[in-house]
Amino acid sequence: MAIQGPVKLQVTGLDKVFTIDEGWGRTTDITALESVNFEVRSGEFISLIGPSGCGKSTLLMIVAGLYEKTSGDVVLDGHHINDTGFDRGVVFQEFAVFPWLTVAGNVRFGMRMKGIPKAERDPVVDRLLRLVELEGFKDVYPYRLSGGMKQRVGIARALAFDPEVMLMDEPFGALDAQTRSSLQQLLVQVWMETHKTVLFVTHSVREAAYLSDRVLLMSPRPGRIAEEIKIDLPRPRDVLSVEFLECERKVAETLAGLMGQSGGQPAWVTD
Amino acid sequence: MASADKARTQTGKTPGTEERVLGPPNWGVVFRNSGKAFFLMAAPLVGLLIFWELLAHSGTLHPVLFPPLEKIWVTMVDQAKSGILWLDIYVSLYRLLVGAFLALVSGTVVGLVMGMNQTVERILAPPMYFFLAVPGLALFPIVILWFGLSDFTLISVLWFEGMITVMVNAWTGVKTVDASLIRAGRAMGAKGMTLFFQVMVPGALPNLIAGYRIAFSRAWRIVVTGEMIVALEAGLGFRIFAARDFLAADMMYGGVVVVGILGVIVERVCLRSIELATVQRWGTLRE
Repeated sequence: MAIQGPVKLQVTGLDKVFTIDEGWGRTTDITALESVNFEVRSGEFISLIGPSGCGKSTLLMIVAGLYEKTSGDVVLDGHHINDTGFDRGVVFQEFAVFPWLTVAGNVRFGMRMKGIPKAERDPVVDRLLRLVELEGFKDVYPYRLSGGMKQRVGIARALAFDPEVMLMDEPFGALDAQTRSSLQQLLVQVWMETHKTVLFVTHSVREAAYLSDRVLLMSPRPGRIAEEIKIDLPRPRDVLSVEFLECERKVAETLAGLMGQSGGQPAWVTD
Repeated sequence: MASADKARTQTGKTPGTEERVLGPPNWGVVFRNSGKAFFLMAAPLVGLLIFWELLAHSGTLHPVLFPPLEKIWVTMVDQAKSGILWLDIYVSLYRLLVGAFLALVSGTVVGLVMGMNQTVERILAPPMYFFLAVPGLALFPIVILWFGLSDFTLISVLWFEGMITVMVNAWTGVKTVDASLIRAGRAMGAKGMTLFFQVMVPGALPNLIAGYRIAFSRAWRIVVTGEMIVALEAGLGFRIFAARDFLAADMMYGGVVVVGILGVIVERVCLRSIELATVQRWGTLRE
């Protein structure tokens, strides 16, 4: 069921060079991303995976408008992206839920910034909290929530102002294995209901294979898109089915190859 | 599938957030707990007073230097009856509140701006550190030279010292706001002043309030000692110092007690209530 919608997000020739201040007037340039090219179709779920330090999070932050790019172009719905915007919702690995706002207050935040009238906010809050299964926690402050619940607030919050694209930066990386799998299932549910375009950064092969329509594999630094693997399986996916395990193996082997492992050996990228 | 997280949400329960059915208060437990807390607070105090009283009546110490408690009490009641005590309290509190208010407002603004703008930070940080090292009291002779023996002198030193204290904390507060919260705010469209008021200020609040607390207690010290140096006509510090001329130790001890009690009340009432309404409610601070 490959998605054939129009191109939503297009990244062309993207470079990112960090200039590190070494002190005493000296600097070092580190090329994090080099000539990154890819496109995402409307409604597609894309994962970015690669060895740590390959610049996958940097890439996501540039698309979010939170980091400046060095050169190249990011185009979303025909608009060139140089700054943050309401057309993108970001979910962070650190949850980044505001401790001074209640769950509902956090979800409302983006809508307030966008200038959505008060009367229209509450139904959205109710709908989204139901979607992420947090109905009972509207007026609770985040410190009383578990990590998984905080990230569900993070997801609802990013969806609240109805962005075109969801950008997720290793959103489940800081969670324990059980919570992670329950949130992965929830995300599939949310994605099927909202039809959002998703760009998802992860270091987990299984997560990428479980969630995505396409997995983009990045090379070690300087990061480029080295390979692309289509996962053409119906959802919700059975992680123990032979078809799924074949896909997972393919991703793991390709990734191992990118990380310098020669072929012919068993894949050693476990998760 | 049957993960802990999932299970919790399906029943809609997480520790501390479920609908709780509460019966009537358990007065036995309430009395026992508050009684215990009160005993721990009061016992050392009562012990100290008894010790004092025994010492004062033992005849080994000079009664002028160590007056018995009843004498201190009578003196304070006399002062209260004549209205001097109330005047002193009023004057000292007035100085504290005006000075501290100016300090909070200016220190907060300058400190927050310092945290946001690197140029301002680089300009203001060195003088800030310098004046942080200079005790406010050392400034009194200079300021007296400028403005004379007036309320204005006292309040300006008070303001300056308080402002520096609040500044440091507001600045640190902004600097230590979690970078991911700022990114989240920006990603949800907050920019400029909106980002400042919606993310930076609440994020800096735990530090800000800590700064207010220190500033308040410092300001109170400066009011009391300043009143001794600037020699105004009234005020708790002035009264303690003036009592020296009459060798009225009972008046001094009484004054010190009033100063301490008032300081505690101001701290507990003003600052604790801000804390309860904000950082403690958010769980960013626990007591």
